[in-house]
Amino acid sequence: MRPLPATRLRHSRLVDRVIAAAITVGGSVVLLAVAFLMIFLVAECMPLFRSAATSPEQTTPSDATVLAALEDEYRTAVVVVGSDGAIRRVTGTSAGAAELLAGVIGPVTTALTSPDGVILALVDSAATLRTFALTTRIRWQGARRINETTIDPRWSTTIPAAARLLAVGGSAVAPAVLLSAADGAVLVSAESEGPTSATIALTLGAPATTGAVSRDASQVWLTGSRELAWFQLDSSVGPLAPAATQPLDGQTTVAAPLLGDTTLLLGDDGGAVTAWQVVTGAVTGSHRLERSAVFPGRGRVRALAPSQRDKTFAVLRDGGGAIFHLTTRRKLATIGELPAGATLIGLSPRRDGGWVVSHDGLVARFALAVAHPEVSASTLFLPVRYEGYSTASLVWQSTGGSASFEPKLSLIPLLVGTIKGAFYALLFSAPLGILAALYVSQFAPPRLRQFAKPTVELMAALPSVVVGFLAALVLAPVLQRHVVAVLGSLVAIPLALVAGAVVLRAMPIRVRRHVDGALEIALVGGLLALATGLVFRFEAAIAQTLFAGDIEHWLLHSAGITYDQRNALVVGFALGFAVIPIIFTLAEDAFANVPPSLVSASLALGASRWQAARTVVLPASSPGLFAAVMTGFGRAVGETMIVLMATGNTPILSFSPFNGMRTMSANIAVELPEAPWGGTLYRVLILTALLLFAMTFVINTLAVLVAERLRQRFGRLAA
Amino acid sequence: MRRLRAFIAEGLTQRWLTLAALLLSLVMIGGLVAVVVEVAAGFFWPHPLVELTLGDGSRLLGEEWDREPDPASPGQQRVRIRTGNRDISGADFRVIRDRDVTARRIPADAWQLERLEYGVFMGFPRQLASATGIVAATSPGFAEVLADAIAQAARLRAERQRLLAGIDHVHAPVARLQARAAAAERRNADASALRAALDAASAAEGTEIAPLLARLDEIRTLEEGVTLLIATADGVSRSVPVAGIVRAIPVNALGGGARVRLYLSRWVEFLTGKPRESNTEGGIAPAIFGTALMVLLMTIAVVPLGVVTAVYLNEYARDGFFTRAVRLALANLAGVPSIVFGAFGLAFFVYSVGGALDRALFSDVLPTPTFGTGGILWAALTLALLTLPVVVVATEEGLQAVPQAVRDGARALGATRWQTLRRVVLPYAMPGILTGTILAIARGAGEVAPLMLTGVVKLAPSLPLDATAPFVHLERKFMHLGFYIYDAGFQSPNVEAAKPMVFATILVLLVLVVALNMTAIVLRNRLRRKLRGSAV
Repeated sequence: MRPLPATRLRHSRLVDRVIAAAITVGGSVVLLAVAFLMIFLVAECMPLFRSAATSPEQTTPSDATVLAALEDEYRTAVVVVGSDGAIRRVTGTSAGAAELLAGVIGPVTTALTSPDGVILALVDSAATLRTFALTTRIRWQGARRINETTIDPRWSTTIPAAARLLAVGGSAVAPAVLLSAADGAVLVSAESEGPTSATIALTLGAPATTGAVSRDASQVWLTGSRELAWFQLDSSVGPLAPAATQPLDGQTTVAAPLLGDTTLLLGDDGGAVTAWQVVTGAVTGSHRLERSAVFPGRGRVRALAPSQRDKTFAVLRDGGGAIFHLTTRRKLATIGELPAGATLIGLSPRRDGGWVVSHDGLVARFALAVAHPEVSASTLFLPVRYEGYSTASLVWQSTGGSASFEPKLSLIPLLVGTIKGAFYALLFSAPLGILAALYVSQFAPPRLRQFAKPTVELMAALPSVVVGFLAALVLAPVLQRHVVAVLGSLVAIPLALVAGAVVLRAMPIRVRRHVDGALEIALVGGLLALATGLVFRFEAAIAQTLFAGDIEHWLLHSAGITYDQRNALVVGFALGFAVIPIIFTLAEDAFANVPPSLVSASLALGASRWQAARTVVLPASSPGLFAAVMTGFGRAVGETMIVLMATGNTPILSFSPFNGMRTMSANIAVELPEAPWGGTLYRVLILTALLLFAMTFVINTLAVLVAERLRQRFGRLAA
Repeated sequence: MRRLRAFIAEGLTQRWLTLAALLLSLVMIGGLVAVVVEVAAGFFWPHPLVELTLGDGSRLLGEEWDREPDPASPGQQRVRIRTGNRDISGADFRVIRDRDVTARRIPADAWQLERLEYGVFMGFPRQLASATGIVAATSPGFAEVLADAIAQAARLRAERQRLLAGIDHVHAPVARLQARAAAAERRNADASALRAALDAASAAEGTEIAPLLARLDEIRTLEEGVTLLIATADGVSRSVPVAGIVRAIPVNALGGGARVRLYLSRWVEFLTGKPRESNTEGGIAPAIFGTALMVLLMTIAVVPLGVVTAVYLNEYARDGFFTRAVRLALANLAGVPSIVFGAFGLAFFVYSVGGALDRALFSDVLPTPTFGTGGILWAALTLALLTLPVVVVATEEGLQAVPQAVRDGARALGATRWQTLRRVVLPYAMPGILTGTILAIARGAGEVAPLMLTGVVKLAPSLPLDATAPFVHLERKFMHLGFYIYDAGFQSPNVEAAKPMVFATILVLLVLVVALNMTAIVLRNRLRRKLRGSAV
């Protein structure tokens, strides 16, 4: 034989080495994939917990005494209203030229903007109240965006000299202005330009010092003589008395409604900012003002600026500014480097920055980085008192109808739903799976074993969407109609088996000897059929004696439990269907791993087959059974389609087997496709996925460790 | 007392309880399969059309769907009738109390029309009007004439489909230019060159499709000329265009052979046709195709990686911390809920990778996403991750079955490790690799939750594979059997009407998954026998 040329040998050795390296790299891909999956998910939800930060931007002086200011959506300029009746567009570099407002006869005594920065109201030297609507239009010049803020006059009217401007509200079409009066305040509003304004007198008993108007001009808040009063406006024109009043501790300096007009913020001269909401009183139709939050601080509160995005707001006090969030009751950030004598504060419409203006015209802008102010570890896992709620609660409600809707993202209802579903699934599948495995491994005739094992394995292969569909559309209605019979069978089947065994024992030995193998299977099958058949046959009678005919009615009236058609029982059954094969297979493995010598020894000592199984096989394999149940639990926790279809998907907190629930997995499946990328909901849902991952990771690692220890134990025994 | 203890010690009841547990499990799986087969197999079989006369003199014609106890009057039953005629009555079903029925007959001249729109029509044909004249339903050759007309309509429909596909094909470059021009204008970039190209392309398209459009008009005229006058049980006459009829069946007059042929042809339509009426009728061919293509893509991704991992673990790795970590990672990957893979697929593949691809390669149509939205490629990759452990475990089992002596023999003959692996070990372990592949396919075909996040849709406008370059459109969304079951069964506007279709789809999916698993089990058992044999 001719030897191979040396080059070919070298070549194959090189190939061998390259392939070995490639395979090693390929092998580590799995490890990298799992690590990357985890790290990626963590990175996706980290921004949720990043704390907010402000950073100062340019400070620009303007040559006016500033009374009011506002900023456009793209933060191109802060428009300041000077006491000379002119506006200036202050950018980062220029103080802007004075542009006189139409019709204003300077100097202006007071000027105010509405909380959403859409309406400007001012009182000029002729004691004329003038309103303006502000619009920002975007024009494109090539690729360059140009913002045009135009200020168009709306209605104007002369007012008594003593009247002070308290607040501006309403819409750009129909601005509403709140003015102080001797007895309280008056709300002046008009549909459009013109003198025909409607005024409503609001009686407080004393001149109002501060006030606020809702965006739809249907609510007014007033403070005066240490009292807060809330007015609900209707179509009447007569003097209106407050619908609710509440004494106050401090001297209120500013008032502003938060986005949604459900909560009013009050700042006082002691430095505290308090949040107030209207709740229904004890008497029907009556209302009560309730303090829902306090944000203490030091220094007189000068100005409040609610965000137009969410429940975030900025507070300007003597000696400092800060950003807070109502629902989380958190101080998100402090604003540094304020100009001396700052009197006004504002947040930009996109809540990505803001500005502070001093009386003498210094405009200090700051950037605000706060991606998800409404989420913190405590809002995700602890009860939160949301706007409009009377107590702190655990709620999942991610989307709502209006722009001012506040998402309620508590993970607890979902966690409880997940655990509940898995619990009922295990309640059903663990005994069934373990007992069936015990039979197959210890008692079954070989032919049944050969048939049963692959059949149960096949059960694991059934797509869960099929199981879920059948559970929801076939099983759930049947279970609702026959809930008594199904629950009754749970009692009847063991009774029938006991009765059958007693009868069989009474038989002579030559009869008993034959009852084995196929005959035994037929006998037990017959007993099963007989027991369930009898229970279903006499279902009506059972229901009549125990539950007065109708179990749903009985549950509702004697226990106050409602019955949903798609409930935890159905889910437990369907999920159990998916979990049984897992528990069965792992339990069967655990039983099979018990050395047969142990069983033989036990039988030789005179134990019955059952005694050998119970006293030797079961204890020896108990760690394996634990691992089996754990793995089943992991599967039940993560199963999606079955719970998505067979539960009502209502995220309620209830442990009742007759109610539905929403699990974490189903929640991801339902809401993630609709959640905008990078938004709060998206990140919370990714966090849910991460939680699921972590839960199953712990469960599976535990199961693997237990299985390993088990192997070691029997390794010693076998040796 | 002693007898009781002896009774317990013997453990007959306890043993029976374990047997009962096994029997219950087996009954559950058997019951599930039985329910599916019963409903699905029965749906396509022609059911007799029953005419009921009610107490108030009104009549209705339909199939008896199911019966249940009448909650209003104990001891009595009520029956649900599938009456069809949705365009007249507004509903497909009516529930009739047995006590309201005064007469029941099975009229031999009742027909059922399966239509393209508005579901089935049940009634009594009066006459067929066409260009060649009017044929009364009572005339002897009516059935043949109607069958010919329907066949002709089917031919015209097929021709129109071809014409429309041709028009789409011609229009595709124009549509792409339109999208690019629109995107450019949205970005305020200069679109004048694109506009000029678009105008030229539109003009060229106009001349090219003119003959196609003319032929389409002709077809429309031909179709409009043929109508069937048919009366409902209540005597309301209705003129139904034959072009909209898929099948006309004189159900009650059918013989045995005709019934079997009808049954089979309905199955064929179901398996090869497109869905109609928001997935409540027609066929599931696009879902079958989408499932197959997605699974194929997944297999291409997962099998090489899975085999390499298994080869590494079994042939190359030394026992150590790293190997243990890989095994732990595998065990965990197998236990991670599928929805977590879906979330990862959406966040990573779709948004991160897809978004980056769009910015790099398809920036001319941004902000409309190309790969930055769910698609068949991302779904396949997500499922590949999900099924990786399945392939690895099965392949490892296959590798373990290779006797060490065979490896040693090859090495002793001077083969390198790679040569041994390629020529000896891998061919030997082939059944294991095959088992893993089949199990992965079965898992991928049945998995739904991750797909819901990564690109499955209820109705895809076009298949991910077609005659337009580049022929395979990996960014397209697709239909899937499992998602079809969820969507038609739960999100459909007409769940009751969709139910039989869903059951038939479940049967298809079950047959597929069970057949795949059976094959895998048989393969694996053979492998295990070999393993045992080699150990001796």
